[in-house]
Amino acid sequence: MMNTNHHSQQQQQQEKRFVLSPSVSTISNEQIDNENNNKIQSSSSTALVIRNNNDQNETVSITDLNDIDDIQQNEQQQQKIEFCFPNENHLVYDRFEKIDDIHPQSLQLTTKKLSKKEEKKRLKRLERRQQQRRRTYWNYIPIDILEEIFKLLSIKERHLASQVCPHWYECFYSPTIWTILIITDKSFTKRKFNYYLGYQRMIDPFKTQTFLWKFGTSIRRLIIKPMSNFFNLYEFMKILSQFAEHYQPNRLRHLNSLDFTFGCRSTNLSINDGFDQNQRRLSTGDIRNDDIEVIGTGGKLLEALKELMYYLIGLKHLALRDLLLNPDEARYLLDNVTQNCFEQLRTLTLINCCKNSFTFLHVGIFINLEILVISCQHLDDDVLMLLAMNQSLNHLYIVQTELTRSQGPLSLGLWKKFSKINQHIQIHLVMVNRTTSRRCQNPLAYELSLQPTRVTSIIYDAPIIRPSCARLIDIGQLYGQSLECLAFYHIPKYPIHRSYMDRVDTFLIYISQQCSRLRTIIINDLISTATLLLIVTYARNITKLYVRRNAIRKRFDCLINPSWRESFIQWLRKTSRSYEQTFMEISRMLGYKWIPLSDDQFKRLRPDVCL
Amino acid sequence: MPNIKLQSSDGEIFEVDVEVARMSNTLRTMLDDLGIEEDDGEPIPVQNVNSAILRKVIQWATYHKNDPPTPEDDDAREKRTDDISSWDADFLKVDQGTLFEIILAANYLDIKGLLDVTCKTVANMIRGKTPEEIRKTFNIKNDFTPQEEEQIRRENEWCEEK
Repeated sequence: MMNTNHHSQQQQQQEKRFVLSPSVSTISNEQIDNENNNKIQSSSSTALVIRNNNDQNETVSITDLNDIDDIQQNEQQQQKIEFCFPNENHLVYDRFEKIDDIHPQSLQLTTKKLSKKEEKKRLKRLERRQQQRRRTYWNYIPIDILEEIFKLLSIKERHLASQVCPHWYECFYSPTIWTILIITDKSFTKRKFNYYLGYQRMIDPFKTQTFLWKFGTSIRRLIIKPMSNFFNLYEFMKILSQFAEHYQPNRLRHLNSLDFTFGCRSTNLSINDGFDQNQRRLSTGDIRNDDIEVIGTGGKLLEALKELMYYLIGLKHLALRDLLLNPDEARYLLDNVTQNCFEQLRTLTLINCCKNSFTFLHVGIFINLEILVISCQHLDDDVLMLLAMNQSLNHLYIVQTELTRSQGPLSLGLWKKFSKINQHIQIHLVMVNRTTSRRCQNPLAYELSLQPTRVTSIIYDAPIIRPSCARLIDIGQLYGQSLECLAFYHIPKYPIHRSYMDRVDTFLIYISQQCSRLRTIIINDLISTATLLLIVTYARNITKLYVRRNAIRKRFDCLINPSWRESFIQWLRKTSRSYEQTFMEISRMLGYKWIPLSDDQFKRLRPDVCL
Repeated sequence: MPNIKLQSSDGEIFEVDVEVARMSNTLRTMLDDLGIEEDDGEPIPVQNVNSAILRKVIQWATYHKNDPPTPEDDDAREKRTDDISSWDADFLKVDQGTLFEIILAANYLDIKGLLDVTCKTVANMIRGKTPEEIRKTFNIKNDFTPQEEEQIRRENEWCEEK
């Protein structure tokens, strides 16, 4: 009576049932019949049992009843199987077909009935399975990607993320995510109540020490941002020095980059508060520079900084900005660094370390220095001669910021001597200004001071400054033989002039005419299509031209040069009347598909060196 | 512009600009090593990336093919997460599963820009959330017992701001 089609498992189960059947058979046939008859009326699902009943004897019918359960169980099993192996759906259907063979009509009923439920169930299952898959996804995201993500989070956020799952917890202890440490006013602080000011963020030595104990050896790069709470800054530097001093060998020996910017502009926030005395004790002398009130450092803070630099024995990159020291204190600023790192230092940035002109002769001692970024007040004859003799130095960036007190250019004779000794150093003039105020009280602070030498690039990293026409003409005249890069970064924050005579177009054309070696031009100001065409025509060596798409005017508004041939003027007039034509012609001349940048792309442009 | 063919893991073939394909360091190395300049009829298999994700990646690369190169010392600079362009933000408005697969594809194909922007997006999604909320956002199962969780929280309690 059993179909041979049944698979072995079912057969085994049925054999077991046969053993059990005697106990079932004790029930009278009539009883069962009655029961079955009742069931006919009551439910359709049992109908199949009765139909089978009529053909075969009672015992079997009961086993058949069990069999239905069995089928249902089987279905459940199959559901499970389907759940686990989504790709074996066809197998499951095969099995259904086999069962169909056993009870052709009955199962039709059941499958019909189940089909809707089944469909819902299947959808649910699919959803659950997808969720399951996603779960496993984010749990086991490759560790190197997770590290990249953790690097973007603050310490607190990393801690919260580490509690998500074991894999993420592991990532918290990966040394690579702790290589860069950025110190701001909020780092390692705790809120403390102050009677005069309410809650204040004060540095928590316990937090700082725990951090250093756990991850201190992983730090490679330390960035100290401008801080307004000088007490926190002082304490932090002290704790770091102690950490380095306490252990042998020095645990900060792998720290190879220090970037320190003093918060010289933050004083007006706390002029009358409780920290005032503290600040005055730690720092000496404030100066007024135009409309910005700034305060320099010195005293205890300087001592702490020097001590820290003494313990950082592995420095390769050092940047000190806006210290605005007094000359008598500035004299000893770099003593410790020269002592420890004179061989290994690769890049040095000294911007506004002194209020007025002061030269650090130390810069000549770093024999393997490759890049020097220095503000003009730290340059003089002696320093320049020392630099000329440095064979490893490749780039000299002369930086001017709004706090720089320029002493005017160095003499022509001196630069001549310099280039006689050394020809390979590339000199870059940089204007940096990140203030937001547009007030120009001291015009000199907003005018790039030029040096009479071979300058390779001119960089304006200052969104509020518009280069003056006179300066642009000077650039064209002075650097015709050497200029390779002229760059105006950032989207301008000054009012843009629309008329041709007020725009910089003419001067850019002039520069590209004069400077035959020009390779890179980055323009942030408004410019016309005709000017772009002329720039590319004149600057024969140009390879990179970055212009904002939003700052291009479709105009033929250039002054016509009498020496131009008629055909050239025709071409210029025709091409500049359409954006597409202009871009196509520029692409043709540059030799690659040229497209102006969107503002998003333009914002991302940055100078090659970290200023 | 010369085109080449890329074949996704599930067999779909995409025709893309060589410049777009070369944004992926993996494909660039492959093209250079094999000396492929343009289409020679044979599609390049991109294992590990299915057609839906490869389509997204190609869409991103096509949009960003004219991006100026980033400075070399970019890794040393401080990273910000609030500078995602609006196009990228729209592009990455997808469900977690897709975002995850885009990250994996960007990692496998070695497209730095795409990896950066996706990591930033994920970091922004983590930011300001409790562990439970993070789990919910990313559908992560909590594998910790409450004791373990408490222990981990305690272990680095110093990170918490007070």
